[in-house]
Amino acid sequence: MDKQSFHALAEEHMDMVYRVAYNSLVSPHDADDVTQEVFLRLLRSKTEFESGEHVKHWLLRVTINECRRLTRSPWRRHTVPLDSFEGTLQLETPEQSDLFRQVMALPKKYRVPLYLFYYEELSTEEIARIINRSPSTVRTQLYRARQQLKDTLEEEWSNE
Amino acid sequence: MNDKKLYQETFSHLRASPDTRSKIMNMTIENKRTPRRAVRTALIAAILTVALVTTAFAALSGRTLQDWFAGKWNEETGKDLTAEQIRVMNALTQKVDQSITVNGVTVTADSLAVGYDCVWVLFRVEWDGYSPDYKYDLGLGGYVTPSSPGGGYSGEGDEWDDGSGTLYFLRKYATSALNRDMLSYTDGGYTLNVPACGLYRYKENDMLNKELVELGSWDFSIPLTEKSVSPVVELGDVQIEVAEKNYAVWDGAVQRFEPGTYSLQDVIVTCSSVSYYYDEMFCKKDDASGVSSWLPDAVAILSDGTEIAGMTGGVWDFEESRYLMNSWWPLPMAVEEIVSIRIGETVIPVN
Repeated sequence: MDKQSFHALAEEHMDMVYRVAYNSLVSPHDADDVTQEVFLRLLRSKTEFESGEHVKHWLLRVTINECRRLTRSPWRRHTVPLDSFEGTLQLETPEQSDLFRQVMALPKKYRVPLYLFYYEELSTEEIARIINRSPSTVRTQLYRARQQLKDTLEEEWSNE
Repeated sequence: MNDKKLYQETFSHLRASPDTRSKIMNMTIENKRTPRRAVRTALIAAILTVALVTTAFAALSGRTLQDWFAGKWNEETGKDLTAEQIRVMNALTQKVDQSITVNGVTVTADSLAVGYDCVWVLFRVEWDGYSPDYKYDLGLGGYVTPSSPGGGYSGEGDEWDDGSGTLYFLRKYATSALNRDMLSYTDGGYTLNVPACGLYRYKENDMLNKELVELGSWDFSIPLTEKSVSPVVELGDVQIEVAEKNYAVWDGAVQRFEPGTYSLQDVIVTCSSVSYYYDEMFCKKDDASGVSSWLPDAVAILSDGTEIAGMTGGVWDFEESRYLMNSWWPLPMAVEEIVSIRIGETVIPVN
């Protein structure tokens, strides 16, 4: 991959990779590590990407795998308390702050599908392929995540 | 406010650090791995003993093995333990209470739970020099003797303090013994050996810069007795359909697999893992590192829909020319509550 293409892809997708890693690991340091690792793999990859969507899905898949690998590693670092990290995010409203806290309080397996659905606007079928789960499992995870958010934030969450 | 809009506005503030941005933009193909701590593979590829290093999950704590099981279960499922799970975990747990004191540092093997191919042990460390400003590491790699053929050991760890200066280390020792039951190779006399030779401390998020606190020899030899409280379910040979191209990882490499039917042989489900054999047809060429293998995680699905994912490892059986694959559960499971196993994308009913 030439330098120009790599830089363009890094600019476009770096924050997406970081956000997925953070949602999975809830550690800014680990998420930074995963982001670097994923882009190093992209740089070294010999995969011939067919489209922008292909490279995006490839990056998401590699990110998920890298997070799983890190989670299982006996070397995993400590997490940073949510309070201290949240202070660095410059969230603008109490609603944003509440939502961030409540999402991070969800079980780990709900956070990444939720991000891919609400932020990246992927379908449940696409999410299922990326996280290697069945579409019905993803739909259940999204349903339960929405229910928990609804219960804690007292606000209806749509499934669209 | 629209929920999607609120979500997107909130999470748009989450961005890679300037340092990461700079490192990525200045990356070259010759770059070595990012300068973080070494990440160990979860795979067992040969006979070896893996020295365990600590993992910390701030949410997990408590003073007993059962406390840790309950916390781990909640972390994995978001739920409380069922009565049946508690029964199995309590029945598998044995008190050890073996203490060794060196230079004022007392390490106690508190208790353990023996599964079919996995042992969970809780250690306690007490000494006067404890400081809450540091995290600690005691190594605590281990292995079972007499060892079964193929029986390499790998595992995971956890570490916490109880707020009054006592440290706790949880260690899980998992093996791919070719005869699958790690305590069936001889008629008995099994021992878990855990040699520890140094207590280290380090600052939060700086595990690579450890300082030695005490050098010593805390060598534990813990007798193991298997307690059969949960059945071994034999599922026989199972066909797995791979309907579409699938990605897998071997030491971080991403590969693509063609659609097809794969045959898993002699699948068994136990309180500590699901394991099966498969032949070398599973091996695929990876363009970066040569031959590698598909290692799907197995997931246990319980009657209430709860899912628990195993950690997969494997060992090559030279005599039979096949792999033995294990997906070890993070904690002991009541097999009676497992209604199906999902391997890759295939769901296999468990009767």
